[in-house]
Amino acid sequence: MKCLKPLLFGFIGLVCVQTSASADDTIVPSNKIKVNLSVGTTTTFTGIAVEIELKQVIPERISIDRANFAATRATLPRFELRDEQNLVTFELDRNSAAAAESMIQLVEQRAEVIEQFSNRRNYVFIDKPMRVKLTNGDYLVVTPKALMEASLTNLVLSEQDREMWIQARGGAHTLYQNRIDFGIRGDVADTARREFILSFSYFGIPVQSTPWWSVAAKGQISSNKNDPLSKIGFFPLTVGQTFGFEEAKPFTTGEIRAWFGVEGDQPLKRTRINGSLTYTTMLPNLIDLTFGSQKRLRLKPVVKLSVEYWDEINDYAVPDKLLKGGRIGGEIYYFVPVMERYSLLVEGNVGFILGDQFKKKHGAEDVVSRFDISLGYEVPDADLKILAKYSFGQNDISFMRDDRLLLGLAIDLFRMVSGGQTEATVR
Amino acid sequence: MPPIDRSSAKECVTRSLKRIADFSGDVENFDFKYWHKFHKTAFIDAIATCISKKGSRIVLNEAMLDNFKNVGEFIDFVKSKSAYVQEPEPNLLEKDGNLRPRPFV
Repeated sequence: MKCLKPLLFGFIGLVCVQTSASADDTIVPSNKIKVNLSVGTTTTFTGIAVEIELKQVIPERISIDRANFAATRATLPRFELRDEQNLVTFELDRNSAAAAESMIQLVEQRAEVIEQFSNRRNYVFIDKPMRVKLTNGDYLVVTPKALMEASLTNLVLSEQDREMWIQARGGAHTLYQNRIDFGIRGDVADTARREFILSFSYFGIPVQSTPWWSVAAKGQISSNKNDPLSKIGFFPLTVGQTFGFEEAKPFTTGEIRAWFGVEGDQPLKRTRINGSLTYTTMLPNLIDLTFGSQKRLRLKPVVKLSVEYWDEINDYAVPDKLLKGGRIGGEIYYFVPVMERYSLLVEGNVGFILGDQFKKKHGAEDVVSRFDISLGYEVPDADLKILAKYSFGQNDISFMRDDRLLLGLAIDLFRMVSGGQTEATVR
Repeated sequence: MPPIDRSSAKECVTRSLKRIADFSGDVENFDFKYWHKFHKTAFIDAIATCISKKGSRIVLNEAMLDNFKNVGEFIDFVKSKSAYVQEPEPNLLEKDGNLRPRPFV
């Protein structure tokens, strides 16, 4: 309590000055508390953070006394997650509590908590009021009733966060974004002709108790069923491991992943078993086209090296001659800023085909490659870009060659979609 | 070890950006467009490590990055969301998690 009647007498005044250091207790009303869930990782933990945000009652330029909070953690109340019926579902570890500028954070990584947050209404219970010291010496007091009222409607995990959490626990799968891209493709030679293209990739963990096991699907299909670039793959088994992210140095940062599944062309007239081993890392930047601009971030190219084994299941053209083959190759994703406003995106792959009979049968060359090169112009404060995109190369299932140029307007064409999200890109 | 302020948050973000990209000048106006997911994963891991070495903890995920208009906004986020844990740095711990005796100096 602040001393408001000091200095009437010298002695009393001295006592009051000392007392004023203990300062005010402000009881925080429930409508000034925000309780959020945050999904993510730290260096030692992958899980959910329960965040009690007190920003609305902390004066400007004042923050929680974080050092004091850490030093007095043992005096905190007991934290529990309770459901609407007041049943205790989890006790949150008081020792995981830590303070940021304006919020108290507790972390939880047990797998069971995911279902608790996904399916029921919960609240955060504390067994006594929580006193939080501020840097101006005052205290905030969070009462059990206010925290219950503030948290009861907010502690629900979105489907996106839930998916992200499951995937993160399985080891960061860094290569496949869950996405769907829809596009209309024109033909340079015949401007009246249009084809609709859908490309997709999906990566997920089907059973939460076995997070090392992932499934993947990826491909591109077209309204032209004979499109030589169309390809579909389903991989019911993938396992992998990431390493070196804390240093993120070229070559020593990456992911190694093994795949096993089936892939084919769009009408599934040619299908084969695919067993693969991939290694993904970053390379040093190869070129600088910014011409000294300090406004551009030159992301390092991401490359994936792979070894694949193929065993044909069916082939409509030569059904009685099914062969084994393979490929050693690489993929690249390289976003190159050009001067202050232009951008070049190179995505492609190149592979050396293995198996002489396999190559002979399919008329495949020793080296198969496919690249998409896109040129964009960034309009300030908008995602609109004027686009030219050139695709050339071969599909490594049909081995048919195709070169195409797309011209037109694109909305956020290059924007990568983060894991767990699905987003349609309009072209 | 003091809690994270904006300059130490910016130092961590700048250092982590250098892991995945080259640049000159101030980082504040760079954005997160065109990043491959691999860049995002490496970036947030590097930040988490840097913040951890400063005695704090931050919970991050790749999707968050799309919510920030530029790196400056993200630095503010790191500053405000880094929770002070005052735990010893990992290199002070033995493999069994016990505190390694500090050397005499």
